[in-house]
Amino acid sequence: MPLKAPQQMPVTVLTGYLGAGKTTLLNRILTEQHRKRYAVIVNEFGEVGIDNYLIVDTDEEIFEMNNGCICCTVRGDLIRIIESLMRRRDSFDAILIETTGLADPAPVAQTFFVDDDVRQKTKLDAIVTVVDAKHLLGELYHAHEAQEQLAFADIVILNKTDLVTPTELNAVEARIRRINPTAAIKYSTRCNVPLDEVLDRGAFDLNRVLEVEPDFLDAEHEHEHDDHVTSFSLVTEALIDPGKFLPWIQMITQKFGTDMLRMKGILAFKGDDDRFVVQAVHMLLEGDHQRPWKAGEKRVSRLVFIGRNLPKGVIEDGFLKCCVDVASVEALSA
Amino acid sequence: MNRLANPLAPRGLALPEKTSQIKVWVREARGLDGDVVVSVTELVCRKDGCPDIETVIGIMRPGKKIETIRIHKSIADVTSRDLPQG
Repeated sequence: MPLKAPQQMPVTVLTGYLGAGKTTLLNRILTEQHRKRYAVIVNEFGEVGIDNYLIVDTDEEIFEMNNGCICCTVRGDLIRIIESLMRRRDSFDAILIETTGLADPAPVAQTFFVDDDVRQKTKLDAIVTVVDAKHLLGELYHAHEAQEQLAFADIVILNKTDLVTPTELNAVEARIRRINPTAAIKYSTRCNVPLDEVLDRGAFDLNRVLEVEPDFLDAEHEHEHDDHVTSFSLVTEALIDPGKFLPWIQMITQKFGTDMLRMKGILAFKGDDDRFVVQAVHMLLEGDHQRPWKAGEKRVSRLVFIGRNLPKGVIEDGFLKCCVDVASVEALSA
Repeated sequence: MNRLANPLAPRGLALPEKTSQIKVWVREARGLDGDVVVSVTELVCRKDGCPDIETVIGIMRPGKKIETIRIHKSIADVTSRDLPQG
């Protein structure tokens, strides 16, 4: 009888700029009834002090890994702590990592794809970024960290909405969307979002890639701004040639991966009845068949790139050359 | 063509014990303290000149540059003899 693979422990990463409300959310997760026991990895013990939870203090140990083909940064401290936690995995059901307000989420995320031990025993569930509706625009203006934390988010908790007017809130949401068009945005005051909208989301499952559809056809999306991190989407109704696309997306990931924070996509390959999905965190790329195209479902291919100064024209040109009938292709880009 | 050869397929989850074993071998071979982190990953690279598959071991000493060991074999095929002695 084949051995049953042990269940992977879900890991939620909580990010957010200084004062956004991360600790408030963390305290809610640790105090409310949800029948889950968390091991919590925090950078500063600070205000968190809750009974019956395993709380581990750590310092960021960032290592750059470069083997010639793939460069990435990983958090050595997380590998060590997770190895240790998994030796007593019966004591808790999930792991929560709270990063500092100035932390770069990239090394945290990449740790879960690089070390095979960590990857086999845990799975990154979602990156949750808490932002302060009142101060976000100012923070984005002067802090690259705030932009990168948004760029990596699967879920954005737009907190302190009671401190801004509806018009201001719309402006903040539009700015978030410009940086990250695929994250789910949850409005809150004092982080009062239902916890089931934050935990157990499976956001890194290939089965759930691009569940939140970005505004691909919104022409208003495209305008000049001073963001360090930006996003763009590429869409085509022409079928894609996998023989061209698969080497191309690997080349793009290799060439621009340092500045490509996240990429997600759904592809309609010629002669293939299944949707093919891809996702990347910097140079770490994976893709697979997801599910059959439904009867009547339009076979549209979509790629969303979030990154620093990515050359949209070059990437769009290459993408369109992956179409089966290149001559008749018209891009519907946003 | 419902099943193309997929070069982007997520890596399998078959060998947790082997990965742990490689970490133990590295620690013994190098005499590493508990504060040194060892990571093991299997990479597939299709660039010309790269091996099809390799195991990359990272030795992370606090405050120092990461040391990497590349073995041109899959994790399943790595043996203790493949590790250079420190």
